[in-house]
Amino acid sequence: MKIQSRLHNPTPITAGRFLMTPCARRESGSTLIAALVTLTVLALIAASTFLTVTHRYRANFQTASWHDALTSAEDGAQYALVRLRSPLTKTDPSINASSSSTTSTTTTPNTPNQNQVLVDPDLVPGSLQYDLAKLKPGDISTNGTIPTTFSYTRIQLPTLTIPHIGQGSSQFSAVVTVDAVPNTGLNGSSTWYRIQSVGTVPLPGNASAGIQKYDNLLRKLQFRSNGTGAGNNLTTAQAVRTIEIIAKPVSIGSAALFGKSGINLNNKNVVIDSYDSRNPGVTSNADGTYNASKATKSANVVTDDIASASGSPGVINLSSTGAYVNGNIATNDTPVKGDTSHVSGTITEDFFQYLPNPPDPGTMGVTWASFPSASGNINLDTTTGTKTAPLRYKVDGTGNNGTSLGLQNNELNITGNGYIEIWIPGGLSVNGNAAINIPNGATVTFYVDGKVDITGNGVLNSSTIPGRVTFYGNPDPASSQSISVAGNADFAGIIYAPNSDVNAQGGGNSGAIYGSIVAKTIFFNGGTTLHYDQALGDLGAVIDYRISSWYEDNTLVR
Amino acid sequence: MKMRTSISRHQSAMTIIEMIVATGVFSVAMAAMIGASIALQTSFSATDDYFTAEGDQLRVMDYFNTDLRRALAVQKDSNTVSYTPPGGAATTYSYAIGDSKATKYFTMVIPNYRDLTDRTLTTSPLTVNMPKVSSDNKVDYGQPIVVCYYLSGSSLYRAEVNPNLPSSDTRNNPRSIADNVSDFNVSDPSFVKNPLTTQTFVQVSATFAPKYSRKGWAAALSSNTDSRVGTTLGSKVQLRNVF
Repeated sequence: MKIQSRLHNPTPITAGRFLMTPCARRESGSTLIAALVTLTVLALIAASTFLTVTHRYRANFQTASWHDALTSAEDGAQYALVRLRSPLTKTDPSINASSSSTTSTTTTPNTPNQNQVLVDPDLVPGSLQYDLAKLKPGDISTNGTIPTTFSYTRIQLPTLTIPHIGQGSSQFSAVVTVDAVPNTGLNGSSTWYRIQSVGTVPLPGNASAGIQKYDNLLRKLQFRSNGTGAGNNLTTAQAVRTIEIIAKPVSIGSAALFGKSGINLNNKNVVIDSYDSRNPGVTSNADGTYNASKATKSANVVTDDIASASGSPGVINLSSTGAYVNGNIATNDTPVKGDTSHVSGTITEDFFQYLPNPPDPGTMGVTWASFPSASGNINLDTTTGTKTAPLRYKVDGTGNNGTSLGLQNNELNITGNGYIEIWIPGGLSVNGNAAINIPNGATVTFYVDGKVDITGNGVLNSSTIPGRVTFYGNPDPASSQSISVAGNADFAGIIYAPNSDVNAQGGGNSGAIYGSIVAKTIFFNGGTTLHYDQALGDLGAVIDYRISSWYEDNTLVR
Repeated sequence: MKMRTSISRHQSAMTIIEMIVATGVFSVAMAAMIGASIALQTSFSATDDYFTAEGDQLRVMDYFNTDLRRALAVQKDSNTVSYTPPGGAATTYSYAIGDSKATKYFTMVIPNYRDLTDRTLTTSPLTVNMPKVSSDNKVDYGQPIVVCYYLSGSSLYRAEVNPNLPSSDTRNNPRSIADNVSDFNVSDPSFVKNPLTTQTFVQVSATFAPKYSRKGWAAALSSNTDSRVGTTLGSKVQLRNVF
């Protein structure tokens, strides 16, 4: 103000005022210096605050982006899992899902369409599984690229971009590669898959680390290079996280008993136990068959608890005397009924597994040869059958029993070590002293749409090795198929009939079931025994993939 | 002239009263300014410490979560952990803590994912240990890596011991991951329903002694005082490989 006054009034008006001017000039200079010093101090404080806030802001954003990178990687892994699961089923137009009256979806979320039938993904051209099995490095795949930098087939899926709305980056990404775990998928077992997913999130702001020194070892943010040895190849700083999951196939024989709508084990003489044919001499006989003294306790009994036609929820009932279950029991939110004191493992209520319908041989688009007459012993050699081109026979009405197959004191002898499929549109009965003899090396698949009775001394699979015998029930959810094993009858194999009712009346002295059962309802009475072969958990058709191993690579490299 | 002299004398000096008043005003002003500066500095420092503490807390939780998610077996309150390798028998893995001040432990084993034995590589080793599937249908990455957390004084340490590396390898050395930590806990919470069959969850928490509390923060480092209330962080983590 005084400087301004002097400028506007350069000539002193009075002597007194003139004499006061030098003093005023000195005071003005002091004020200016004081103001400048004050401003400087304030500016330094402001700058310091700004720098600190900027560092904090950057550190927080980097931390948030680092978290987002894991989300991106997880999304990528789930994307690959979806791609693996997709070819496990297909829509069967011959099944009218809307007419299905067997189940209710009220208790089961995520129940997919009921006109989905099971297919073998290895036989679906264009599927991820098919390409991984058939193609070689450098080949062209519709699923992605197959780099030549590896000696084995590894498919890199198209980069997954994930839009993001909000602060920070507007787009995350995930690069996913899938390959088969070595030494899986051999000898009839299912292939395991390795999924590696790299989630990337660009970092906002300058390419500089936050001020928290300990963060760097954990988060390993990439500012100039992505660590591939290509020099400073990044134009944008990024947070990167890598996860690897192993997808384990869930086969149709993964549980001893799987009742879609419930299981009734009617008394304490019902015994469910297990053995492992892959460990002969230890948990089974030398030839891989069951041995009571070497039995194990891995026979799990599970249910989806899906409501029956009456609307009541499914349940596992062990009876008031308590059936013996040498394994775990799992339900879908419904408590187990009856005496559980003979259950060796845990009882939980958190289980659900989607069950597609069995394969429909009528819509496979393959040629079926007429099944030989069933009047006497029948011999079928499987030697020329392969997994991709098995021998196929259909009971088509040219035999004595129309579209049904009835064995009464005669035998069906299957020989050789190849693959064979038998479609029985009608029913199947094996009674008296009849038997279906299957050698250990043959892989046999039955498709039976009608009623099944194995009674008397009837035997289905005299080798009692269940791993290579699969018994598919009716694919239509509206069917009323029943499957019975009674008397001294033996059955060895995997029954996959989620639309059918299975009854076992073990009234005889020697009959038993070896293998596993998936059915709509399962009823065991009398002295029924089921010996579950743990090898079935890795054999047979695949209905799902489950994460068996999860790892995030955060290794301290150097 | 008289007038000029008179005026000059009047202007060039101050009375003792004026000096006292001026000095008083100046002192009050300076005291206020210094006080404000100290308060500002203290507040700024406290804010800085607050964010540092927050960063520490996030980092510790992130370390715990990252390791627990991929753990094969976890043992609280111990520097040993029992784990049954795929197809093998139960084995005890331990971390030899060389820190005499260590007071609390928390140990786990994680998959041995990368082959780190070749240090001549100038970039991150691309070699990974290819997983195998054992006869009992479990994924096997080979002999696992032992990870141990322990508290030494007010610092939380993490050690990651790779069995394929020589013990003298610096990558096996423990590293401090946060300061001002007074405690941490790992618990296996009970569930309303029976334990889950396919997943297991654990609850993990860490308690920090905040510097930004102007009262009693020093005591908080060594005793359980109210100044730590509100600085315990926890999370529930799914052990994705333990089932």
